[in-house]
Amino acid sequence: MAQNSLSNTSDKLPSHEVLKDVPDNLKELIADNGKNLKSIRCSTCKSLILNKDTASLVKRETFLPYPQQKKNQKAEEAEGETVNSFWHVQDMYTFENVGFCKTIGTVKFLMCADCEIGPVGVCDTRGPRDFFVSTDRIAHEN
Amino acid sequence: MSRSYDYLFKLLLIGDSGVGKTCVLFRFSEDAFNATFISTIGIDFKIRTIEIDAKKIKLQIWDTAGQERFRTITTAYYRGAMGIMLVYDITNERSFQNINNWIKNIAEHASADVEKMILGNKCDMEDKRKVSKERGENLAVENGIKFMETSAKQSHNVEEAFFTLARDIKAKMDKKLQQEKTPDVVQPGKDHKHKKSKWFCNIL
Repeated sequence: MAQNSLSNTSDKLPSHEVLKDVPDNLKELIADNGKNLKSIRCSTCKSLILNKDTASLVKRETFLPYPQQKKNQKAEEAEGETVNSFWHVQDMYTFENVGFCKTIGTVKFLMCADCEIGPVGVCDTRGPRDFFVSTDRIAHEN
Repeated sequence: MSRSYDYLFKLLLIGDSGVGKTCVLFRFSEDAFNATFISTIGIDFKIRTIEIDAKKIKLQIWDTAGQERFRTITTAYYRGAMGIMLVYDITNERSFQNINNWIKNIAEHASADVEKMILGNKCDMEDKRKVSKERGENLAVENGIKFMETSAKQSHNVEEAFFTLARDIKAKMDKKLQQEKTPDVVQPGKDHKHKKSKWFCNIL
């Protein structure tokens, strides 16, 4: 559902936890150690974002703007959706290829380093050791 | 947790505005009717992973978009930078002349051993060329810096340029490490070997 929540950011850093009720479509993508069984790639150009066995599945309620916006739409008023499941890494350099956009509020969104489609994920400058890639916005393939 | 890479290099792109510096790193594809969220907000930096001599190298690449006047770029911006791409536009004489100012700015504010490379961009616009390839080469030779012409639009030489810069930083680093490991004063054999491998890099 389209909504707008970039302009009314909360004061609190959103929390994340291990995703327990794993949806069926993700079950086959997790190894026994909770890490990703397959590589994480850009769903558009297949650029490699994360290698397999590098990220953990977590739950985090997060607003992500849609990649396509109306022309002349201000970034703060971007339309988007709230998503919940993410691949989580704790070191920026775990990424093979990724781009970071400029900060909005306290947030930096992640994009594909090659075709620049995004946001594919997010990090919060108040929690600079946590990087999240949306399971809905990438492709799982080796 | 073990590190998944062997080297980490911070690189900067600098040069006058409008030289296509941004395109060297960023694409900003935008059609007439839609805008992408990313192009609206702008890109800060990218992480790219390359492999040289079977070593995994992470590149963190920053653009200077929005602060192109060299007077405004000072020490803070250069901090930690190990490589700098100096970019001019082959269709813009002024951007070429300003490379000298950029080199002075780097000498003043950046670390003394930062590795540099000059890129003449937009070589896909031959009909509008104002700066010959020879002048670019000469400027590079005068400053002891490597040179390449690139077309960010056609992706020509862009990847090669980053590989070359990364390779040079790696060679410099390896040499430094080697020297730290072997404090002996005279090692003619070793020196000879280093020179040779550097020459090899130049050809590549």
